[in-house]
Amino acid sequence: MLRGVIITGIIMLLVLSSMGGMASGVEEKKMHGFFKGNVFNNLRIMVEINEDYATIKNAKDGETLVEKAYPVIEIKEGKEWREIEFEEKFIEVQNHGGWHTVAIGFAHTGKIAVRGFLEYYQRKKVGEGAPLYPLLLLYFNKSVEHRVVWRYEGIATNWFEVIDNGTGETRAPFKEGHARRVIYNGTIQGKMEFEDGQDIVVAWKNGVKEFGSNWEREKLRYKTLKFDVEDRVNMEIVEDESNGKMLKSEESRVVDAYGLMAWDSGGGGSDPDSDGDGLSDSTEEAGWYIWVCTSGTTWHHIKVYSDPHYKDTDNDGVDDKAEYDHGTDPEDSDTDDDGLNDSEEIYTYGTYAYTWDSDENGISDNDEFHNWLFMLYMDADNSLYKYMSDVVDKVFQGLSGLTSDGERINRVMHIVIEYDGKEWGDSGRYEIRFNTATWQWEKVKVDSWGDLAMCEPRTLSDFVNWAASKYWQPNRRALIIMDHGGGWDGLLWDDSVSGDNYTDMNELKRAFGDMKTHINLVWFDACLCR
Amino acid sequence: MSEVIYQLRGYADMIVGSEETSWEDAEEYSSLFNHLAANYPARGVELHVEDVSQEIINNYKPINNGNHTISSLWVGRTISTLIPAINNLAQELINLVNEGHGNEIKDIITVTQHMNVPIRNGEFFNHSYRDLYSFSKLLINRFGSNSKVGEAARDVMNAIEQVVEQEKHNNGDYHGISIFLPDDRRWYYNSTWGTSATYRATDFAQYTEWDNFLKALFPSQG
Repeated sequence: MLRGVIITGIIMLLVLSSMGGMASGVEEKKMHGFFKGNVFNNLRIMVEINEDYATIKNAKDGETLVEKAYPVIEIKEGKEWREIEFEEKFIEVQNHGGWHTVAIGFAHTGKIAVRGFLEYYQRKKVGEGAPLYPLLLLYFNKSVEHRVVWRYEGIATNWFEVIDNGTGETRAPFKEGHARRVIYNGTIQGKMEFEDGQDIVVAWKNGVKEFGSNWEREKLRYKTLKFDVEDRVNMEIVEDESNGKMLKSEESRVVDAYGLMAWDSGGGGSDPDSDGDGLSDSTEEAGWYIWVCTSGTTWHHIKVYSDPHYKDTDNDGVDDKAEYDHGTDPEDSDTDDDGLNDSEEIYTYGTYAYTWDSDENGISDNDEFHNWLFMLYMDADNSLYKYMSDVVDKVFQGLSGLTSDGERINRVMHIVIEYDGKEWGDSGRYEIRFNTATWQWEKVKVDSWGDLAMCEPRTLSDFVNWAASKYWQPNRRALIIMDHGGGWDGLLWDDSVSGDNYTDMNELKRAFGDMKTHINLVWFDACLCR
Repeated sequence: MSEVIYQLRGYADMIVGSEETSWEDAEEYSSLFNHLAANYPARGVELHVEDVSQEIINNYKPINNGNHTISSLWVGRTISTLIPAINNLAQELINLVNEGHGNEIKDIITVTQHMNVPIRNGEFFNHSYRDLYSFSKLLINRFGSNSKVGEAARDVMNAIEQVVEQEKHNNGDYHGISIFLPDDRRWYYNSTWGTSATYRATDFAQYTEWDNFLKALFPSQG
């Protein structure tokens, strides 16, 4: 098995393969798809995905911003970096789980084997204009010092590279088996200005550094050197300061056209946290990465943002700082699309809000918590006795054969029965449940009485309140009322009660009014009640 | 019945019911819960309210082969959509009664699809429970779709189609919801059951226009 080393390279717009420097040799352009969207500084771009590279254009006017963008993987051999050539390469275009994905797979075999994917994806449901998410995954067969060089060609006559050293860092919240949140943490050797950052781009003007940007691990924010977008500057790659040469600086260009980085536009001025949510403005504007699983077992690494002026950007009851801590999307009230909103998962159910199936049992969190309580109120204390005296057994028999799925069923369905027949002492309260020790369904009598006045509103509401109290978790509840019925004339005749021995409409309303839970479905297994 | 649903407004999302004693014996409870468990959670399929009601209806087997009907209705939608339409229809019917068309309305009621199962010692009092859609359709046939009552009846039919989620019947002109609609004053002023007083005690009689229509159709001095 290959030992996985995951690198997430979220570099500006990037994209594309051409692993092994194939881009330069491509004559014929073959496009496999394109994305439109905003990049970090909200520049609207279109990224054309070609077989070996991406072309990045301004979506408004079609101006080519970057003719060719592609990453190159290099491994350390002695003191030198050697570029890996990939023998295999393929492209997949998929639409699944609400994501539009173009994935370029590549592989190199040999003493050092490498395989990987460069995925570029966009969340369809957000629609055009959504952030574009590039993701690079690398898997080596052994631990090897490597780096990713992102090459951008055809920026006017300039080109530049961005170098990451391939180190990855996992940071909280990390729960085993789940939040595999990886923040790319490349470093640039020798440049003291950038501390412990990544994705260094520096612009020079007349030989003087004009701006630069990196990511500071400790502060979790982009550090930005301000510049005037109208200035014409040269783009340069920063290399090892020991030989810190300018790779190219032949022409000038309007920097804004690159639209590559997340600028700290201020937002809070002297106050770094305008909305007081515990996240700095620059962090909220620059965004951060989370891992999300919305279906199956495929995880997506996406960048998320929040509004520096609102504590709870998506108004889902989880403020932006908590979203940050819990690894959820502050702009999506249901990060994992499982039907439970982030607030419910984090504060009510304790499930992971970034994956649809927290315990990885194949049942969505929504299913596990949007399950059912079936409450059967069976009044057979009348002429129906001869038909319904065995109703508890019949319900039990319906489930008794379902043993292999018993545990799963019992997580979704909880069944309680209140029964009263004609005989003294046959009244009882039952649960039909699955016993995980015996791996059998069982019928358990949890309470009994000599007789129950089933026509009394209080008897009905007490039963429902007991059941809803015991099974508090389900938020879907069905109440099944079985007896004679007469429509608005009443129902629930109880022959053991003398005098007023049925429930009229106002008594029925009172019973429901006394229930301390909402009923999603009422089934009147009684005449004339619909 | 419209009256039962209205009585439980705010307390339930959906009501399922038949117009007869639903099941012959308890055997159907066995098949119902077997199907609910095997078709949904056992397969990892989410169980929605509509799924439960559909399974109930699928497993519904009436006592005999006579007319039977079972349906599921959304309570909230009934209150917001159907009840206003019923109120409007009731007002138009009152206008017709005041214009001297009372007997024509009674004739229409007589042939409107009614519910069949006897209650209490075999009395067919429940023949006064009639299909609201069937009644509306007959009103249109008699008075025309462009008449005021015809338009009101059409609104009721449209509303019924919105609030009835599922419906099943064999014979008869059933569409999912009934209403108290006696064809003779003896059922409205029934001495045995105290019909008028009991009926008027329901929220539906008190807070909708329907009972005003019935009172107009069967005036107490009549």
